[in-house]
Amino acid sequence: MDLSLSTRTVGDRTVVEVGGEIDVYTAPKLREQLVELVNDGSYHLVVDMEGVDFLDSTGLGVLVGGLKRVRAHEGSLRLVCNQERILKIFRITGLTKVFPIHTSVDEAVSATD
Amino acid sequence: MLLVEDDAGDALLVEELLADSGLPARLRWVRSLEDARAALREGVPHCVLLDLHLPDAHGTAALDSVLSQAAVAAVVVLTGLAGEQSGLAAVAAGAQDYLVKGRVDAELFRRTVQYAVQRKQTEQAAAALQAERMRAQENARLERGLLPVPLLRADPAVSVVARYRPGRATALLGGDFYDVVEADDGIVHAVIGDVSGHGPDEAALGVCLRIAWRTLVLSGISGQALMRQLERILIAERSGPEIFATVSSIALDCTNGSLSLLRAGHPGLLLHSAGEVELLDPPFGPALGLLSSSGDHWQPVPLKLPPGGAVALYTDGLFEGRLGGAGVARLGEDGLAELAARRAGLKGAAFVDALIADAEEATTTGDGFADDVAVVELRWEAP
Repeated sequence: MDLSLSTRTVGDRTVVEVGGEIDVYTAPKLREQLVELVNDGSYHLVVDMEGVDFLDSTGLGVLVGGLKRVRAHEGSLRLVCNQERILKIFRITGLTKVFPIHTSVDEAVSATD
Repeated sequence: MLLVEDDAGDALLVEELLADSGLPARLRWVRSLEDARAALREGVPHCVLLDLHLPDAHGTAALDSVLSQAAVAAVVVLTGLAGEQSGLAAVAAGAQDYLVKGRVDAELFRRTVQYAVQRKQTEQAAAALQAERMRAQENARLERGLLPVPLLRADPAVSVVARYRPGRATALLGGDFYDVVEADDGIVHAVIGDVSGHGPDEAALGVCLRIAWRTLVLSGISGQALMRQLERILIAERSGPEIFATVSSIALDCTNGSLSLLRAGHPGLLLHSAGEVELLDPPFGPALGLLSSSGDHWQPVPLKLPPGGAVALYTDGLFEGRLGGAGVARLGEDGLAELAARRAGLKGAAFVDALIADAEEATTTGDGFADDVAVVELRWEAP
């Protein structure tokens, strides 16, 4: 299994659509994508996890790393996720308190703090 | 090949030597160290021919600068007729060889450049091999640090089984760790944890957290304070702000079998008694290092072991393997609990080893766990 990534701009947000499995092998690819976006000046990110089949602790670390990066630029990182097994990982680790998690890309894109 | 030479006449000579030597190399000529650095930024050639008297750098300063930017290139220094000494000094400082201008013919030029490049490549290969060896030693050292000997007093009222399996991902250690110690008051403490990410930094942090936990427990720190102090240490010692750790820590009172659990973002645990295995998912606080505000996140959860009962802690590598077939389904904690229930008749090491083997068999194509796996089981040998 592999990881697929695609990005698009919606207003002032950049939506990263992730598909496949985020694990020890594929997480570096997602990290590179997030680092690149921040380096290019995209500080308001929405990571769409609806197509993600699996997420492990390395993947969580990459998302947390992305959040710390955008925050350094007063930015934001929002997640879109409705899958119970992935939400459970966010809940157990306490990441639901760290990431705003939305049920749709539209909701995430229009959300403000 | 990059020629760094400010004198146009000398440069022309080198161009002719190269043409006559028959070496299949293209020459790029720059006149100053600054231009050389710019050229090296675009790409590092196999060989750099460096005049030691440049308008913007002299002697070993010029050499050091080139070497720092082109560590993989063979550097051959060009010196004047009276420059034999500076040529030797350059070789001592890291150049592969030197050529004395005016005393070079095409054949000497060819041999010098060819051998310099070959020597450099051999050197690189040897360095890579050495690095590989160092890494293997480092892994072994870290693995020893991650795999402690339980610190129990004589005739303990508990039996401990602990297992650690490194993941197959590039044979690197992950950040899983565990430990077991008995405090002065006879309470037996066990911990299991998982530092996010994989690699020597994470493994080293795992060792650091294990020692920190051991020290805190032996110093009588427990409950919320234990997790708070562990988190402080994690934040101080981690290599990047995105690193976090999940931890479960238990304290077993061997006089009555009561257990106290502290759970920070870590998976559940298995309770094993009287031929039955139950998966517990007790209340928890966040993983360590995630939330910037420190607070009372980690409430101790009271549990109870029956006489002869056991509690098994594990890391996510044990249940995150992909099930066989073409699908994307993973074993999951529920799947793990089912496997454990089938082995409920076994005890101690036999139970733990069978569970690990079953999980591995259910989830791999025969090449081992992808992630590292740690399991630690405490069984209360009731008085």
